[in-house]
Amino acid sequence: MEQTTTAARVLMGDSLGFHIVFVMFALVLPILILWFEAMSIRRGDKKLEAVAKFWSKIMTLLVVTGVISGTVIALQMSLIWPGILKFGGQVIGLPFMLETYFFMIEAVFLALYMATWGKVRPWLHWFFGVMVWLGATGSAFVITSVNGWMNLPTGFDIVDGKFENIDVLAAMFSLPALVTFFHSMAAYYVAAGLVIAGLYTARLFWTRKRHLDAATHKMDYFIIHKVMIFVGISLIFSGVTADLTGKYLAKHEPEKLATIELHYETGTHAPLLVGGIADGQGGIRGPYVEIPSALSILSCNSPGCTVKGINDTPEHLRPPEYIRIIYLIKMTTVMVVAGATVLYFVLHRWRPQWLRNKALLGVFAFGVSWLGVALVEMGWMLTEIGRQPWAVRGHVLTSDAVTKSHDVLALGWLFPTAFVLLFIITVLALQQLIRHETRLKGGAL
Amino acid sequence: MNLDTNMTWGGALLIYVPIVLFVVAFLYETWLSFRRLRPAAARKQRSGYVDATWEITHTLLVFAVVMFLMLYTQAIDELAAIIYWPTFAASLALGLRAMCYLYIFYVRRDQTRRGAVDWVFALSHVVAAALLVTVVLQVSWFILTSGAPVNTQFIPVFLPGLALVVAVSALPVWVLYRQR
Repeated sequence: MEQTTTAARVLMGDSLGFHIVFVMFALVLPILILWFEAMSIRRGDKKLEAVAKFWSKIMTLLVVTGVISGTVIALQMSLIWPGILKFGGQVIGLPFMLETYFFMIEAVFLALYMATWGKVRPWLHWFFGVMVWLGATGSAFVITSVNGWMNLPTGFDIVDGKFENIDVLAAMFSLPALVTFFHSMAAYYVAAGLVIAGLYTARLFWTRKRHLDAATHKMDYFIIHKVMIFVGISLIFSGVTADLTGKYLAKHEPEKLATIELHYETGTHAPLLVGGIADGQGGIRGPYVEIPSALSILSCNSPGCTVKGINDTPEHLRPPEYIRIIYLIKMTTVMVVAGATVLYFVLHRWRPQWLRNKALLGVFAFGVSWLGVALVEMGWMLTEIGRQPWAVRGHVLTSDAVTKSHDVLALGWLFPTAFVLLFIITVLALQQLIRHETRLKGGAL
Repeated sequence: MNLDTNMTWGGALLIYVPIVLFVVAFLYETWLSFRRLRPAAARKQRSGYVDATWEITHTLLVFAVVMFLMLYTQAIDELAAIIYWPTFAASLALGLRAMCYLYIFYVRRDQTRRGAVDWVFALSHVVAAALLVTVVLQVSWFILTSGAPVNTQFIPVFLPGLALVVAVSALPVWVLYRQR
């Protein structure tokens, strides 16, 4: 049974890890496309319209892959983890069902948006795009609310083993749902924004130095700057929501925070450790620096605040210690991304010519631009692995939620294989779309 | 009004309306995928298939599956065991179809060419359709015979919701075809 649980977790993790990449673009591209389209309508700029149109083609292509992986996940969620829905279907069924409505709205209006370029009044066309954004964002909210509910099940009482006082809205709009939604949205914005800026930076990197200031690349710099403004604002928002997430964890999921922060004993003036990992025997391994009282301050704005330690949780109910490693890698990555973003604005303001430096362009395009995606993946790993051993915290263990069928072991490997192939083909298809756009007269590239 | 089991007509509508719509759309795709294999069609039509936005039809499948599972949350483990193999195989077939689709219409440069991938593409439709029909039959049998408790609490909300979504979807579709 343990083997089946592990296989099911790996399969679900692989599927979600793959799907989330397409989700973040489905959430961010409508915003950027609408922004550029609005600018093109207001300024009457055909080049900006071409940019919006080009990205809408990319969005459609990514939706094809995202729809398939989303369909597979919808099936997997129900078939591999029946225990979750069996326990909470009455309470948390509403967002699952609403998700399908939002999904439909997104898909239908995307079809309409793509088919009516230049055929309806510009602002009506823009409105269709708003509906795509609304569908995608609504869909993200309701699904995130299910995840939030799994972390902190609310909206019901259990009396004599039966559900009483079911409040589906309380379950859907729970605190973790809101905190996770806003934090994950900010992270998606940063991640997809960086990738888009990175693609234009890569284009500049491959351009001969003497052509970097040519008129053909003026739009590239313009887009990079706009997207980086979007990334910068999202990064600030992400910092604020990360702080709220920390405070939420301290209050409602203390064992997760304690494992992440390597905090063993409950107490006030809890220090924050920079570096160091668990040694498996209740100690700390590796070099680290202790910042006195910082964890207490971050948890509830006061050094005298009590922060619960890992030792308060029975050993068999603690999250795995290795999430500390994921957290350290994540925080290091956050520093790199934040540093690169700040550096961009500093250079843009005081040393704009440095932004044409090939080495800097190369470092951003190939070293930094994809780090946001890694951040999103690591963030979700912390959320999901950090909830273990629970599937629905406090109520359903992961090992009890998994299907009793051993077929996961037999079929499981096929899906990651299919996802890798699908990813390769999607990248090749994107490459072809970009090549085609480059050759197109009046195109975006 | 109830069916022989305690499944309500409202619940049945939530499951079968999207399924029927999906089947119609998917059969159309299947027909196109074979029609485009004819050499004459290949010469005349560059792609001979629906464009990427047609993928919206998959939302109907997801809709039906989610509605079904939400109505039967209490019997979900039993159901999961029954429909596990055909559902997973169907999702693999849909994945294969998506890969072929992207390769044929986005990656391959010569759109008039027809080859093994086009045959795999067409056959993936048939396999997926056959497996999905199997799932629908198994599910229908389950509904009729199991007597499993139905979670009817959301039906009053979602049935008008279904009508609303169909209306909301119909408006843009109408505009879409009017523009064409």
